Amino acid sequence: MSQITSIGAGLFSDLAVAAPATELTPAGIAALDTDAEFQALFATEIASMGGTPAPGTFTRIKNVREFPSLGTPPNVVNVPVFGSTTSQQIQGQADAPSMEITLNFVPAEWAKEAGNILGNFVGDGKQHVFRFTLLNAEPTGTDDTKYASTAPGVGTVGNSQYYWLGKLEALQVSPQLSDTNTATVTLTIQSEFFGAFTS
Amino acid sequence: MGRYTDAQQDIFSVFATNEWKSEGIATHPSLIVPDNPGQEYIRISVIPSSTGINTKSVAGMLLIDIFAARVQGPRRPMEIADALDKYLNAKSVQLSSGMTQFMSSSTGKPLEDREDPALSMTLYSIAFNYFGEN
Repeated sequence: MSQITSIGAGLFSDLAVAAPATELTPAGIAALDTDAEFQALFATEIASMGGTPAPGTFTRIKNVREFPSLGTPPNVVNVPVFGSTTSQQIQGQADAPSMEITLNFVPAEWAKEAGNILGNFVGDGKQHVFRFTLLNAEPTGTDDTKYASTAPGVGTVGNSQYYWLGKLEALQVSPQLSDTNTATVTLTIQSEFFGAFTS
Repeated sequence: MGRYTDAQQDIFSVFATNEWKSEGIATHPSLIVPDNPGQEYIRISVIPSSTGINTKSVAGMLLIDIFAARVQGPRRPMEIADALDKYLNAKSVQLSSGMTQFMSSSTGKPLEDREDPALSMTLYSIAFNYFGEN
């Protein structure tokens, strides 16, 4: 498929994190910059609970209630100009954004137990590769490649993929007495955003 | 065409597909009387009653009356609603420059059909947005 070409609601938008068998080295992370390199990390979906990491495996962060804005906010600076009636604006160095994601909380998905991928990523201090995919329609693939970055997955429908490096810093659970339990996952962003790519 | 006819065309096209026809559920637009009274069918009404996100868009509800044999009880209308969900719930259709996107569906209480007491009538509704570009 290709980039999304019409106005619409991103009903099936998806957040995922790469879960390779061996951690990426700093040199490997630094070398990531093309669509093919990022997409290769998101080839086969594995479950957070009991999934077996292997080259190209990833885990979806499911049940998201609300996504934040993606991208780095601008830091526009007004610069006085001698002799001019109006100042000029320049783009200053922008603050790195942090990202908070609210989700419907399934404790088992996030338990800090052996073999639980997402639970053990929280607060591990390690950089991971994240992917956000804007999807207006549900991918028509099946099984563990339905949400893969390549053609059998999200490429079956219009898609726009964004990648970045970051850490899963915190998980805050919000018990609810009259609604579903929710949690807020906080990511820190430690690279620029790569994309929008598509497949 | 205009946004109203484009939205209606998108919606009706769902019921013109071979996949929907293979479900074997007789389908009629509103105001059309079915040929075989007493038989199970659905009746489709497109209600583009809300303004859209811009002057080329429109939003509204797709209301579908599900008529099923009363002797089959409450299960059959839900089976038909599930069949409708396969083609409508959170799906998108694009035949013209704009796109019609369906949201999440709901159903109502089964009632006796006043026209034909042998049938029950259950309302299936789903919100839609037709997105056109300025």
